[in-house]
Amino acid sequence: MASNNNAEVSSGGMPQLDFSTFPNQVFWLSVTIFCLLLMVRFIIIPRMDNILANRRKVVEEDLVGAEKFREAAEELEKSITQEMDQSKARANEMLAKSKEKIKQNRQKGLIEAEEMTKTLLSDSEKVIVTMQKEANKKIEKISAELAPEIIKKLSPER
Amino acid sequence: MKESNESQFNIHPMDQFIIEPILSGGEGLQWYSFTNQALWMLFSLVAIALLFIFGIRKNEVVPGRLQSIAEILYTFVRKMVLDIAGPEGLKYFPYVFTLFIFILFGNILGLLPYSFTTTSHIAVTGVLALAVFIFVTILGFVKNGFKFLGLFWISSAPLALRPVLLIIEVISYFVRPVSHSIRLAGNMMAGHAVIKVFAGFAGALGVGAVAPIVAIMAVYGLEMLVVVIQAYVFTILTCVYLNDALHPGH
Repeated sequence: MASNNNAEVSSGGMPQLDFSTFPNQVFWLSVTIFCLLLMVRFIIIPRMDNILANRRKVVEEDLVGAEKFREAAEELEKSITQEMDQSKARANEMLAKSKEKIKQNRQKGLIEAEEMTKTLLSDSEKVIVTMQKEANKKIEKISAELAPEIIKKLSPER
Repeated sequence: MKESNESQFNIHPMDQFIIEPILSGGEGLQWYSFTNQALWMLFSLVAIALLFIFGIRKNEVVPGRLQSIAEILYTFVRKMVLDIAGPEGLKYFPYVFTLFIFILFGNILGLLPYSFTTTSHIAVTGVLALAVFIFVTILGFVKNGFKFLGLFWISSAPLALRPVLLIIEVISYFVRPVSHSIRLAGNMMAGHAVIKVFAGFAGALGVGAVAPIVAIMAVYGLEMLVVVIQAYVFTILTCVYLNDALHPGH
């Protein structure tokens, strides 16, 4: 402590201003800084650069991979939408076709039914005509048979 | 006056900065003697080696805690050099980074109780600042020749003002190492001295020393901030000076 008191007196209570310690401080500072500089220059910076470059590489590779996946997904989506569009168009076509078929079938049925009614009508007309003719014939025949009897009945008093 | 003070409180806030030889056979302080300051410089070297060499593993994509710290410090300083001094400044990044981690670790280790703050001595900060000053000045002349003197001759100012500005610029240029070093050493010294003073109060008050201890905690928190900021300030000023040397035309 005696030497310290001496130093304090010479530096006004501030060890920082004790110039007798300066050569020692400068010497050890230079040694430390020199060692540190060598360490930074030849160990720390190459290692850190290596690590950071490696990380950047990994991240970039991952990004490229992700981009590839995205492209593949987009392509898949495109093909899916394409297929969906195609099948939609096909379904529409089929729908339209069957509608047309149904319409045609109906028309055909209507025409057939009309024809059938027409033939039925004409047939029944013919039947009616023949029946009328037969009835007329019968009437004539009956009246021809009945006429003499009527005359007989009407003339016994005579 | 000093004696009466000592008898009352026995506070020696500046004693923590005394440089004493250790491991020496009582021959006093020689220029080569291993001192407490040299020991703590060695400790910061060891701490830096632990963090940057043994704390990091190669080829790790997601870094662990220690490695994150190392990487943050590294990229922080690198980006600072790049932003301020430009891509040409990256050539001097190892020196700037060395300065930064030496000051940062000196400051932080100085906050440990019973430790010695190497950066609280103006001899240390003065040598660092002078080294920066001399390096930057030589670099400026080597890179730009006599155009480097354009730093003092502000061509964007009116002609009549230029001689006045020349004097101001030259003075401010030569004051740089002084302010550069005293700012760091002063901050470190003042903070530690304040903590020591409060610690002295706590010792004087004995068991009921709540207020001084709370004050120490507050000052310590502040010092944690100051310690990092001063390392940052020293480094950023180094970058600014480097930029002046590389691009003196602004």
